[in-house]
Amino acid sequence: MSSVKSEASDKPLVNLRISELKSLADSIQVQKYGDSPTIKHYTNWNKLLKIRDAEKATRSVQGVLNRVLKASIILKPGDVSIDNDANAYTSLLSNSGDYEWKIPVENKLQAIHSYKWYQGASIRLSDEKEVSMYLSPGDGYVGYHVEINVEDNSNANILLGIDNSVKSSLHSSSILLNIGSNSQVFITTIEKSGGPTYHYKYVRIGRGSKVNSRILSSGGNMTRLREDYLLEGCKGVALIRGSSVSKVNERLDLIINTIHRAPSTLSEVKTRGIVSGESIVAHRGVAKVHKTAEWSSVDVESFLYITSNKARAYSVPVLEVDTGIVDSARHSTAVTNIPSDIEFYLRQRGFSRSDIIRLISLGLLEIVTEKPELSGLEKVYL
Amino acid sequence: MTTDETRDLLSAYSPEDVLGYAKPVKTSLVIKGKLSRSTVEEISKAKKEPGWMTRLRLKALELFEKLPTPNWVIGVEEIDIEELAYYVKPDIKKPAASYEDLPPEIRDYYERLGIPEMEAKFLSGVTFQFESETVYHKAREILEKKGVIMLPMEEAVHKYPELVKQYFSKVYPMADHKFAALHYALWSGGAFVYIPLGVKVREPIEAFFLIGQSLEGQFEHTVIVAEENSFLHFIEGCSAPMLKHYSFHDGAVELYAHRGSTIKFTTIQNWSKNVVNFNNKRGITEENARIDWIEGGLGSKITYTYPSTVLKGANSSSSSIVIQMSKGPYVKDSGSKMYHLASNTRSKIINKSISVDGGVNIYRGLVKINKGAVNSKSHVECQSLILDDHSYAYTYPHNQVEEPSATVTHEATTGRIGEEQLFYLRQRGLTEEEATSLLAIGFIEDVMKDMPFEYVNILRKVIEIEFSKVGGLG
Repeated sequence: MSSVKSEASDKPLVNLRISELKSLADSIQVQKYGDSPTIKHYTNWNKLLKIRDAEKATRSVQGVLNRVLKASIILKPGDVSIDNDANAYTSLLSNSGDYEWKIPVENKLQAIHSYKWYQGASIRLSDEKEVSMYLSPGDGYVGYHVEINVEDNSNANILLGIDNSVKSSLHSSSILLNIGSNSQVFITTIEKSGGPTYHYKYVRIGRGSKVNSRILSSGGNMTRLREDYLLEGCKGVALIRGSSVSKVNERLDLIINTIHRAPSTLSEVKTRGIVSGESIVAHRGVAKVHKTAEWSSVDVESFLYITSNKARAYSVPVLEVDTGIVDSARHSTAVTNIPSDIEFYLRQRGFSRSDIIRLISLGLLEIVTEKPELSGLEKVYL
Repeated sequence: MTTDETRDLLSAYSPEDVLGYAKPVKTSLVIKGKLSRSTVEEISKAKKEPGWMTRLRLKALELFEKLPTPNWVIGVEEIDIEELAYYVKPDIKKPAASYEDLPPEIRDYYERLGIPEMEAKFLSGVTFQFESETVYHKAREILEKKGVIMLPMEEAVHKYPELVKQYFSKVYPMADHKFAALHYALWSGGAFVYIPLGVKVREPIEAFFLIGQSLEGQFEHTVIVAEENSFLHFIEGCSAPMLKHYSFHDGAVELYAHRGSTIKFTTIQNWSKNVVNFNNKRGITEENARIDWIEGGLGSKITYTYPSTVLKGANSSSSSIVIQMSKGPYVKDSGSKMYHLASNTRSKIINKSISVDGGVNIYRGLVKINKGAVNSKSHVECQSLILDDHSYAYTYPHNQVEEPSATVTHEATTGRIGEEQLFYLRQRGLTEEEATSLLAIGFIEDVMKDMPFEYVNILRKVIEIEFSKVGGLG
């Protein structure tokens, strides 16, 4: 049923150049929303579309993640700094007329980003490698693109910090992660925003490879964080955990898609979020099992806690299954206040409501704080 | 209906088999051609409608022209509105009060469907629509004694204009989407039911809609108003004979449940395989009221149906239980919507679908809890069964919560029949096809328990026989 519309990137790669991308950006719509008679947007596109006309940043600005993340590769306006100790082969990418864009373009902002980014790097990881990256905020528009290639039979550990914590900074970034066969990748992404932020991660998983992905996000003025995991090789596995902590007036649209193209693949997406103040948070995702992905297994789970009167939370877990020969395909979600039994238990032990919210938030941070290099995140997020 | 005829009905597996080929039926007026103000005015004139209704139709036509074709639907591009006959009046002066008064070819359809037998057994009122007009209408005396108004919609517009005006198009807005606007511009037929304060109608009322020819549009409109503390169970059935080309159904149902009342609305949709079916359904509940939607969708080429309830009053509740079956290259696009506007409101959505032989089932649901709907709760359950490697099931749920004390839970599964269940039944002597049919029926059994017994039997039989085509029971 090709005519059934989906937000997931299940199109084949298209190699487009800058001139083609520019004309595509003019013609393509903001969002392909064919998903409901009543639902239009969860992303405030007007805020993000400011990126189109924004001037490039002239210098980087000190962001909050810089305090806790010591990265070996730093992308900032006008410069890419690579630590001599960077445990990977790295080269610079420039968005010139010759560069071919390898990620499917399916909305206006993605097209704008694909021709407008100006700082990039290409990283090759083999054997047992670790790399940490920091994407810095600037005094205007910052646009980054990183390609990471993990070779066959490798173990890679990737840490990515997306810092757009400065309100005047407009951020768009993309990561293309190609994973060969029989490899294991652990990727941790932490995001902290103030100004409009658009981030897109496109992960291609080869035969017998396994990705363990952790995402921590807060959302800023308007953050759209989208990750697509394509299980292209037989017996590929994607285990994804996402957390969001939105405290005051954040707006976050977190989208995690898993697309099964090969047989016997497995994906598991579990997200949790706490929504406080006047924040608006959406946790969404499409789990798609193609006809070719027989005997695959999909599990999507999402919990959102609303803790204040002015907060709003949306959960949209989409399941698209094109074959009856599926091992399992399920999703479950809940949007609720802090469960009364938990609140009662903790109140009995002397915790105030704000203590309880902080405690739950700390629990949500734990999906990434187990990494020693990320200790101290609670000072940034709580 | 004789026993043999009943057996024929139960052993048939589709409306085409039950009703056969479309038969020519004499008509007294057919309106078709370019859709314009004059066509709409012509329909209104034919019905001798008051000015307010003509104006409402024209306003809807303007909206239809302005609104874009919704991009969430697939398959409507095949519909050429101007190719359709918008209004087809069978050659009957007024709705018959007995079957004998119906033209033989129309009577034959209804007898084949077994409706007279059901009417005699358990219905308190029946209204039959053929093409664009009601051809048979009968209410038991008890309804009249209790002060229940049950009329064809056109008659209600004339007899109770103020009452109709109060509710008509107030629950389902014409601006909702392009085809809702089209419906209001061209509506014809349907029923108006008004249940007075405290009256409980225990035996269901049924409306049956039949499209008799291809390239026709049927746009019936049903309004049900339940006054305080009243009760009604309304059953809607739809069918069509074998048609050469497609036909288009674009009906609407509006339910208004006043304080403390309950409306149960059951739909058995079994259009023939070339009917494109749009079904616009919405209800409003006041304080402590309840609306239950039950839907069994078997036929049609493409179906779009999203039973919705606006929970406007505190402590009101609603449920929506939908079974959809897509066998062959057909699409069922359904889903329920619950809008919680008041405190302590409750809703439950259960959607079960079976896809086989390339069938597509889509669930699109929405649970929206508005700010102020304190302590509201909603639970959504979607289960899809895909029986082969070339059928499809898609689930698009939207859970939107703007009230911190509310709880929305959702769970969905898509899968095939379990190996261990099949193994168990095979060990007991059933063939694989028989076991599959049995398990498919078991899959929807808990939904069928809320349907009237007679319908459950027919539904069960239809499903069994659908599987018999691939060698199952039946």
